[in-house]
Amino acid sequence: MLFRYLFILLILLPIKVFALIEVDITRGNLNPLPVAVSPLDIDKNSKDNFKRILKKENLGSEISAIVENNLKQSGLFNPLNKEAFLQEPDIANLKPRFEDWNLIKAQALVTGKVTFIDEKLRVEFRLWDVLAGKEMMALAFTTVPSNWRRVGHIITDKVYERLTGEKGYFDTRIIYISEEGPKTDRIKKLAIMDQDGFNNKFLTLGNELVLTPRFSPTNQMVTYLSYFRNLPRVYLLDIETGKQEVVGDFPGMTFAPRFSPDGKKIIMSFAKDGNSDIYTMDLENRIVERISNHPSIDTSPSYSPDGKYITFNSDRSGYQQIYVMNSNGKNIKRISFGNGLYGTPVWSPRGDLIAFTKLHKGKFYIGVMRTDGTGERLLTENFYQEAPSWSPNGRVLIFYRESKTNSKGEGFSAKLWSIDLTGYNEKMVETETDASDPSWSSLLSN
Amino acid sequence: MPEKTVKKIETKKETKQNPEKVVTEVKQVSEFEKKDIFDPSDIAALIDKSKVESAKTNKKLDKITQDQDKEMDFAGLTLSEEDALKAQIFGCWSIPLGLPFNEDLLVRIKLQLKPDGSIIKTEILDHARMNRPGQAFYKVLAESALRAIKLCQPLRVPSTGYERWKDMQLNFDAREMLEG
Repeated sequence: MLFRYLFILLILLPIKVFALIEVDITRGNLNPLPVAVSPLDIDKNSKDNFKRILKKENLGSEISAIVENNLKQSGLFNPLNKEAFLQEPDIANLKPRFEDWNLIKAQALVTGKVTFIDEKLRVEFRLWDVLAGKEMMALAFTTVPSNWRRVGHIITDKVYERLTGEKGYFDTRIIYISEEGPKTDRIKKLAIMDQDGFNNKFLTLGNELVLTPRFSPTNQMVTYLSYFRNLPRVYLLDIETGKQEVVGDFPGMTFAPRFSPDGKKIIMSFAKDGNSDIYTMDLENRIVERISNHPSIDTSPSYSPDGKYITFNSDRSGYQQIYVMNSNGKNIKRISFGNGLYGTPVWSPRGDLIAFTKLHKGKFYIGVMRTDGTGERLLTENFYQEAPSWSPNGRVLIFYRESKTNSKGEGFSAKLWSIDLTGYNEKMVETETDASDPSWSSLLSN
Repeated sequence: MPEKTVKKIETKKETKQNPEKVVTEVKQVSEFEKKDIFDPSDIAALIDKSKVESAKTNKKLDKITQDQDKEMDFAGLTLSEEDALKAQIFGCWSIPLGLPFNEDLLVRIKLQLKPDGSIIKTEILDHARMNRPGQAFYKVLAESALRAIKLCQPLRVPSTGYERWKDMQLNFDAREMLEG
């Protein structure tokens, strides 16, 4: 009976029902994420050994400096000043005191340890979420000591991927044309360096004119154009082995050979019977196939990453514009319709965008548009700049920029620059000499 | 003319005798609708948004009865309260800029709050998606949202009506920023 009364009482009691409050958060800050990169811990014996082999006083600090520099250059991270760190590297690597790192406003923390084992370099690192107070990632690498810079780049790639959700681009190289001498008499050499400008090497002597080197998207092969007895010749160069071969001699006005996404073909334009069209060459059987056939000038072809489409520029509308066609040359569509001339289209490795150079009212722009031509965004403007090349993750573009000469023809220079898709993070890439025509490799550690 | 948005909110009503969840749909008026009921003669309130809220609240409180009190519980946060909370979290949320902008980038997090706005518990509502193959960016986004909540706490919550907001859902949507 009592229960029955209780039951009725419960029914009659006013019950407050609260709707769950929902708040939409549609904005955030685009400030670089504050990250603390603690110097990697190193014991005395390892320190002495690496000092003997690599002439580096403290390899732990050197590797963490690479990570720090890479993160800073990306524009997405703000590495915090080491002088503010409260915890020593050895303890931080075991179990960070998150309150200490929180105090200096770090949201992520990189710690690690370097050891010398069996003549090898062993590096372990950990990535911590300071606010959640948990480990996000822990990895270790063993390699020959001379690879120490690459280890720094690989760690950065892992940290970058874990914190941004997209693959990194730090363990990569850039091939470019090194230029020296007066503008009218330039010595041009093929050169290669790490993406951060270190380990620069010249691959040709400068006796012959070299142009438009392009990395394969799948491996460390490069194709480039060189003039031999005034005839353009397409070369293949294996960066790993140094082995070089001639793919073929082509008629005059051959332009910019570029690999297909599977690395099995090269695509280029050359003039045959006075008409410039797009051709592919199978690298196994050396069969050349004509892809476009139009009385206009078709140049600068670039495959989509799935290999199904090709973007190129053509003056078939009367002015140089960007087009997309199927990889068999069918279904040609113009995609650029803005004011000015468009050239050097390059399909993003992510597949979503096409980068280009635009000339409008005497100024050169590097920009991107969607693959259907919508959403055109001009990222940077200058007196003269061209030849964008994508980082392997499709986030950053590298290109070259030439400066104006004075009335006496002096003061000319050509430099490499990079810019990310936000258009804000524009930086000059340091090179030993003047530089042009850069091409970004795929990730070396893939 | 902006579209009027109407949010459908599911509420739970549970009693010991009736373990089955009784789901009722309640319509929460959008901000546009709230503006429609604003009295334009209230010039002072027009100048100062915070006064709009106080003017409106006072007006309602004058007429309030016991029966209406129950309905007030459904009202959610006032514009000022919501704006204060949003502004606080905007400052704390570092959006991972590497995310693809053409994906579904909505992370819904349910919070349990203390009266001072500090966090008792957070729950990602689509947690299963965190470890799904090809959804690494979702995990990154969810982690960034959790960091924002932790960084911001105690949250700027109203000083009264704890029962009303002790449970709250934050919908982090990065699309607008990444497309921008």
